[in-house]
Amino acid sequence: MIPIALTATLVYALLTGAVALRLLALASRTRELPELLLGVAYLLGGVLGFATLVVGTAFQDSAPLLSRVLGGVGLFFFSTGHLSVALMCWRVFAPDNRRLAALFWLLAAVLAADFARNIGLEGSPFPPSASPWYYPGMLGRTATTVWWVIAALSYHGRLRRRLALGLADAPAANRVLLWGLAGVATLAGSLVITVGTVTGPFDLPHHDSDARDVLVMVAVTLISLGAVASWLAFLPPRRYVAWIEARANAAAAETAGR
Amino acid sequence: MTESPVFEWACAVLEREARWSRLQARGTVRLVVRDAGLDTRTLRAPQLHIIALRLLPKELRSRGVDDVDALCTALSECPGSVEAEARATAPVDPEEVFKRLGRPG
Repeated sequence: MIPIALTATLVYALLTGAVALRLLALASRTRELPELLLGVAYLLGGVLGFATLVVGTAFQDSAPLLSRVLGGVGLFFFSTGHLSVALMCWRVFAPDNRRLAALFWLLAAVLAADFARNIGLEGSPFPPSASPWYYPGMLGRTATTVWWVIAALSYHGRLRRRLALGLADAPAANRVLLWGLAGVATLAGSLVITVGTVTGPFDLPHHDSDARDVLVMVAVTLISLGAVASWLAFLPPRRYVAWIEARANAAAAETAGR
Repeated sequence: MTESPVFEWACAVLEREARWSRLQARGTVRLVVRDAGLDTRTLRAPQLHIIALRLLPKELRSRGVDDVDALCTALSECPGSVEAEARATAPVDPEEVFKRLGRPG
């Protein structure tokens, strides 16, 4: 099981890192906010946040101070990545919506309080689930991922209707779908981790547990599938884009022939 | 919420030519725009052209409007000045953002 989890983690890190660098390079040319926010989300939330938190946990016993610093840096990256996704969803899909603006600022306040309290007072990025302080950060980060899924998949539903009338760009519509599916995989993976934490296996870091290994493998595999979807969305091979365009052209020809 | 100048123009034409109330005209156009997966805030002339020719005729006939074909043809020809205003003022459609995000470097 461990080799599968390690391979999935490697796939995840490589694909997510490549997508992040590609989006940040695009942002440096266009100076536009959406690519900057997504690039930051993939780089900080996706690659550096996870890596720093994992390395920090590994030093828990041998170098507690280093572990505490890495935990703080990792949580900052992780929560900043989640907030970048939420800000992107608000500014791109509903910039005039005051309720979503309020939701974004509420999530930002919750995650800032989570960081200040957990790192400043407790010295740990993730308190045990028995503590009430486990929940605000977990719920805040989960809410940003739910927002991502809803924004992407509901907008894709509209693009499907446009496609039927020849009013949408097929690769762009497919990109929105893939980004939404990446959100679904990320949400599923994070829910597996949450369930593992609340029910026990992840709350006992120094205990051997078969359930822990299974949950890690499932979560990492799900999150890696999300990384594959993100790679297809934002770094698509030319053959993949050509296939999407050919499928859309064939569907349009079929509709016109009716 | 500010509607697109193209949407406002289409509603004004429908209100005048079909002798409808403002509410009825706006409601009908809004319904058709939504059914096409479009947004009244970002509606542009090429999009109106398609929905005026493919979706509106059925809606107008079901509401007993006279000379539907001529009215829909008129609605499909949004003036360039209105489209230019929409281009300058309408918010960016998310589809445009996602087109850019996958563009080869």
